[in-house]
Amino acid sequence: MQRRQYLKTWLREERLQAGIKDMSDQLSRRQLLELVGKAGGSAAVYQVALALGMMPGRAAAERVSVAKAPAGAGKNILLLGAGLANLCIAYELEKAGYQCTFVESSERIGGRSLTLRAGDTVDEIGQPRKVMFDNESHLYFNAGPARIPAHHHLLHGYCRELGVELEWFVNDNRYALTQDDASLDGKPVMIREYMADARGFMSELLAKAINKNIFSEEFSKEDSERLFEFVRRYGDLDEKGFYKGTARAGYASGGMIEPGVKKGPLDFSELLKNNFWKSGMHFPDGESQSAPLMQAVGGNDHVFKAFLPHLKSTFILNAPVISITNTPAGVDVVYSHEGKHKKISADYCFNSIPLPLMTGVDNNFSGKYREGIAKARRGKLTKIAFQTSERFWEKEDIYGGISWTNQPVQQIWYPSHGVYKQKGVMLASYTWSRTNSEAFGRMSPEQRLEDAKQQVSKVHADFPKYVENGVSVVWHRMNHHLGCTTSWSAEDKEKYFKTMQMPDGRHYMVGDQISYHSGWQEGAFSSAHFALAHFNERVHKA
Amino acid sequence: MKKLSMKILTFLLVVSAVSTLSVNVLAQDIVTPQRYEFCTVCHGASFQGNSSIDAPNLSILSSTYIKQQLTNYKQSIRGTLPDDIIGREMQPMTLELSAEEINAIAEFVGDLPDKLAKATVEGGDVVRGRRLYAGCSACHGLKGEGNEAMKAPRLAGQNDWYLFRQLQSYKQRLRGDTPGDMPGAQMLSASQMLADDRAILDVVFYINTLAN
Ligand SMILES: Cc1cc2nc3c(=O)[nH]c(=O)nc-3n(C[C@H](O)[C@H](O)[C@H](O)COP(=O)(O)OP(=O)(O)OC[C@H]3O[C@@H](n4cnc5c(N)ncnc54)[C@H](O)[C@@H]3O)c2cc1C
Repeated sequence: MQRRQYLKTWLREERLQAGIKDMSDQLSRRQLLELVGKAGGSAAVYQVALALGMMPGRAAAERVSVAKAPAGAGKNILLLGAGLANLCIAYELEKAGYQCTFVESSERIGGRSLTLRAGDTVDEIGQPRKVMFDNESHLYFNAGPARIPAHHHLLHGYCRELGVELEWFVNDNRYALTQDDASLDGKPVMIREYMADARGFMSELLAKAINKNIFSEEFSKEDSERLFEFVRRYGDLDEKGFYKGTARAGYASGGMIEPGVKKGPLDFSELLKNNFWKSGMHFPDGESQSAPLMQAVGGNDHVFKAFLPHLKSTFILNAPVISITNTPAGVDVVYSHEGKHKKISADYCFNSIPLPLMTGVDNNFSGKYREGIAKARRGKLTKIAFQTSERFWEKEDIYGGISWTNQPVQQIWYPSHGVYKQKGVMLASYTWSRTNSEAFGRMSPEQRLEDAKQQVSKVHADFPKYVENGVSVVWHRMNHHLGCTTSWSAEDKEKYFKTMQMPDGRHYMVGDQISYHSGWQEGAFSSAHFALAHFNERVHKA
Repeated sequence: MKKLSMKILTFLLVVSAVSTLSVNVLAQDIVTPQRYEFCTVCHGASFQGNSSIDAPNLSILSSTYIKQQLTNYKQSIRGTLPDDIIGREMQPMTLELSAEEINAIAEFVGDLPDKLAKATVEGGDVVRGRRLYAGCSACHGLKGEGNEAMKAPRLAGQNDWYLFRQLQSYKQRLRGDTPGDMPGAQMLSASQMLADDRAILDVVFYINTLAN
């Protein structure tokens, strides 16, 4: 009875909310914004104004075409950090006639856009290691960016323009597995079976409620009938609304020359004990995770490499920046290079150095700008990859995608490329848990591989016998990065983001860190174009 | 002990040109050898410390102290207790350093020009802090200058957030509670005279006044 009442109230509230939405047509836009402001503050007003089309399209930065550089002086640009954000800025500025110089602390271009192949170095701070993969074109893994979503327009724009060949990236594979020590005695289950049964059980519950006329006040008879049919199809229930298993889970046997035999539904209470429903199950519904996704053929570092033939810029590598000084007419930067400290001066500077590392770089920025830098926090993610003697996953009908486990390794990724080849490089771990990542970080690189191997064998019992060699990338221990994404707390973001988006003097902070899409290449490009738009306007007006 | 004189940067003539940008080589400046540049990623470009990474100011420390601490880390005397999250971030950095490399880093860091940290803590009671500091000065010196013989590091000019955390760590036995760390054990008992975070704040607040 109580539950019935609860359901009714809930539905009524939903309807009421829908009513408010209808009402908003009668409110003026300004009145609406005032209401929103009272309830949600200035950030909410900004978001709603964007949605109503009352603000310029800032949700995604638009691609800027930089106007021709003025004749004479004022054309020298310094780019600190040679990652995607600054490569994109150099590409656009050079087209307009500016001269660009990169100062980069590491020995390579690309920053976090890192694909590891035979012989590469994983530059972990204090503990560098070599990658021992065989030298074959499909034996690589993307230690940094792996997925390219459909709606990352700037990124696609550059891939199209620069001729980066893309292929499909499998993010969501129903044949992959989910495993949790607390459920089904730790036995892995195929994701399609878990999902089919979970939907079946949920639908059966809802069908029962409809059959008992719980929603009679809320729905007309016809609506109720339609809802029943909706639910029946959603869960693949029988005529009466009972769930008795489904072919969606895959057959237990048969299906070709003999009739298919359905799997019996799993025990729902066991499904609930598997934490898969907390994240992995809904993961492919995420804002930037929806199928289909893409990757660059041969490794995602081809995205940054595609810029290079078009650039005339000078790259000063192995050159950590030591200090940045805004001067009345430009920016002075001191960096360390070949055993000397050197000073370079430019008209403008775009800086992508991770904010937590910027705290250690002397500067004369204004108070709030410095505070904003110091408040940023680094993210901690880990990827661990193994080369295997066989693509054993293909024997289990797995081609690409992700298995989820409650072991600290968290996610197991099968390569989307190299199908049917003898060997493969698979990710034994991609963990976003800070605790798990810190724990891996404290282990020696060898110990990490050992632990990961044991953990993966809970999902694929024979895994250790296929392992040939491996490599771990603990991003918060990577030299020149010490993190994989930079972010502020919600409160600090509200307080500092706008300040950090704007230049301090002639110095612009850029990179995915200066976007609402930190951890995505599109965030880096968006920040680059936001800064370029500002630059364009100020140079033109001047 | 360190030379307190701040080095003045002098500019040589332009020695090379990169595109049209001029590059000046700065003279009389201590430059981090390239193989130890990775230390600056956490500890700051001039070893001045970095609050975002929780890495302390090394520029003010003596080579003896640096050598001792690096050795402690390497021998798992420091930075191994489960709850010492930050110490455990430092510890793996030392595992692959040889004794010669530890010596070389200590020599180099010991010679760096001192970069004095700016005060960040607020609201301490300087009078109470001075009184409490009397217990510290026997080892660390009246001006917080440190004392080689006592194996006590310099405190004046150190980042206050670091001093604060170390005092907490000693009190919580996250530091100084490992066999082989004699000075740490002494410091562990000394830290017990600071009753609570308030007392730690006051003493750190006072130490901030010693830097100038
Ligand atoms: C694990 C992981 C997974 C990811 N997955 C995806 C994904 O699936 N899809 C996607 O689109 N994106 C993904 N990303 C994000 C993507 O890699 C970044 O958004 C992008 O590479 C950021 O480029 P950037 O130019 O902003 O910064 P960076 O590439 O970090 O560039 C900063 C540069 O500054 C340099 N630097 C540091 N200190 C100094 C100094 N003192 N002096 C000079 N230079 C210095 C660094 O060496 C670096 O080259 C992922 C990133 C990681 C780490």
